[in-house]
Amino acid sequence: MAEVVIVDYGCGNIQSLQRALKRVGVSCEYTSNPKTIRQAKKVILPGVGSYSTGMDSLEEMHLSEVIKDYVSSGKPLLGICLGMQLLLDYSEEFGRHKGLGIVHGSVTRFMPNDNSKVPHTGWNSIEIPYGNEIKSWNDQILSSINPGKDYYFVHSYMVKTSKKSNTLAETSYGGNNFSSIIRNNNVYGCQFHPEKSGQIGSQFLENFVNIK
Amino acid sequence: MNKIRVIPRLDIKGFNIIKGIHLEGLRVIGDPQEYATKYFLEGADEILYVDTVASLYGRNNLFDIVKKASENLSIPLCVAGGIRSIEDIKKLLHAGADKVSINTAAVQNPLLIKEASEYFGSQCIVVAIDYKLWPDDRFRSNLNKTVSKGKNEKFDSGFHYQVYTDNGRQQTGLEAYEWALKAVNLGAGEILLTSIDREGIRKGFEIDFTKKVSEAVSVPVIVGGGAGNAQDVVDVVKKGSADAVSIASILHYDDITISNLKEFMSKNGIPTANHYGSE
Repeated sequence: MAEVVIVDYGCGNIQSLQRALKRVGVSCEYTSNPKTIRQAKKVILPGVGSYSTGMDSLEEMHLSEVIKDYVSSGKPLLGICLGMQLLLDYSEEFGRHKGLGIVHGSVTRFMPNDNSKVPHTGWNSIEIPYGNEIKSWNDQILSSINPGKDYYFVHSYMVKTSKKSNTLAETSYGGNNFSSIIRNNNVYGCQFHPEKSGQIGSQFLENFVNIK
Repeated sequence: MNKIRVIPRLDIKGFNIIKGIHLEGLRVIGDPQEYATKYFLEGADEILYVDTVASLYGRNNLFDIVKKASENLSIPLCVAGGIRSIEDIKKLLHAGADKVSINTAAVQNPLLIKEASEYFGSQCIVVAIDYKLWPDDRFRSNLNKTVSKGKNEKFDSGFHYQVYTDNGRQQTGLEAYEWALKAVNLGAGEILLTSIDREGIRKGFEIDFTKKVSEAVSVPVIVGGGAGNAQDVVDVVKKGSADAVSIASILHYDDITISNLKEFMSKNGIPTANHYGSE
């Protein structure tokens, strides 16, 4: 069985993710098969596109329950970009939409208080969350990655976790601070695209794969 | 200020990187994979591949080059040249591109921008605008009747910029500023703005027009055409409000490395991305 199962719910281009995993020497399978997902050792929920389309696809393909079942088994899951946002309680993208509610918090639109453009497109740094000291950085997913490193982002909506402790790393754009890496027990999420974030992105994927 | 992306531009003809002046007069530079890898290791934030003869043949021929690149390089790859349909975009994304840049087909059929951005998401669709400075706006109705001149003169409202397609070979009668606004309204996720007058001559970017477009649109503007040294890059970011710079000659001819350029930008107060290992 492949080491990582990527959930196929028809959202986005996952070629670069597959290639990035291959580069770090990890086999992966791209599937919507509930049985394969439930039995996976590690799951990645990718995603590009709108929140409601993503959520609707998960529901229509009966994958919401499958993902929740997988999560309750205690095995690691990583949501990337839209895949991370779907883990939260709700999003305000074109009206209020319910998410998977696996990590508590919200997804709201950027409100830059300077001339920053939306979508947030390009490289930005991940930092220790304000008031959280260094604690979050001891997490295994951040192993060999220093605060201040840059990752590639493309998004118009931002995540804020209800509990501060669920935010491992924060990023600031247009005067808005948002959660760029989140964790709730075995569930991880990153707003950036590790698969397009150079060597430091590969390190992040490798860290996820190495989680026991 | 947000981090400014440094994007090497690889103009491809057949199996080689080539470089010209004003998008013409081509000289062979070398192997795309070799150069792309070098730029990646130096800290490139993205790579732009342009099939320079694609529009002529009506198709993009970069699939193999892009596939090979995407297997080795973990930064966004943008591919341009001869992209005419949703099907063309699908094929390039499948080959490993993260974004496509559309020029000729977008001018011929602006609705392609809308269809493509709705289908793939705006983040995937860059609209490339190649333009030349014109002394007046008669090009709107009289194609080929006026003469391009005054490229060294300062921008004022009396000067106009005409959009060209087919890698700088074809006039369109479109005014570049208006076309940029329209492209963004139709869903373009980024605008790649290239001055043909300045392309390949290493005398600096077109600053005033870049500023005018960049401050008017809600999406990032990548500026191309004219980098002669690191100061030119600093100028077009600071004075021209560019969000990203596309660079070819000074990198291909080893005038500067990307790491040195980024260092120079940082010293001049322009933040750049650092995505190397844990050092």
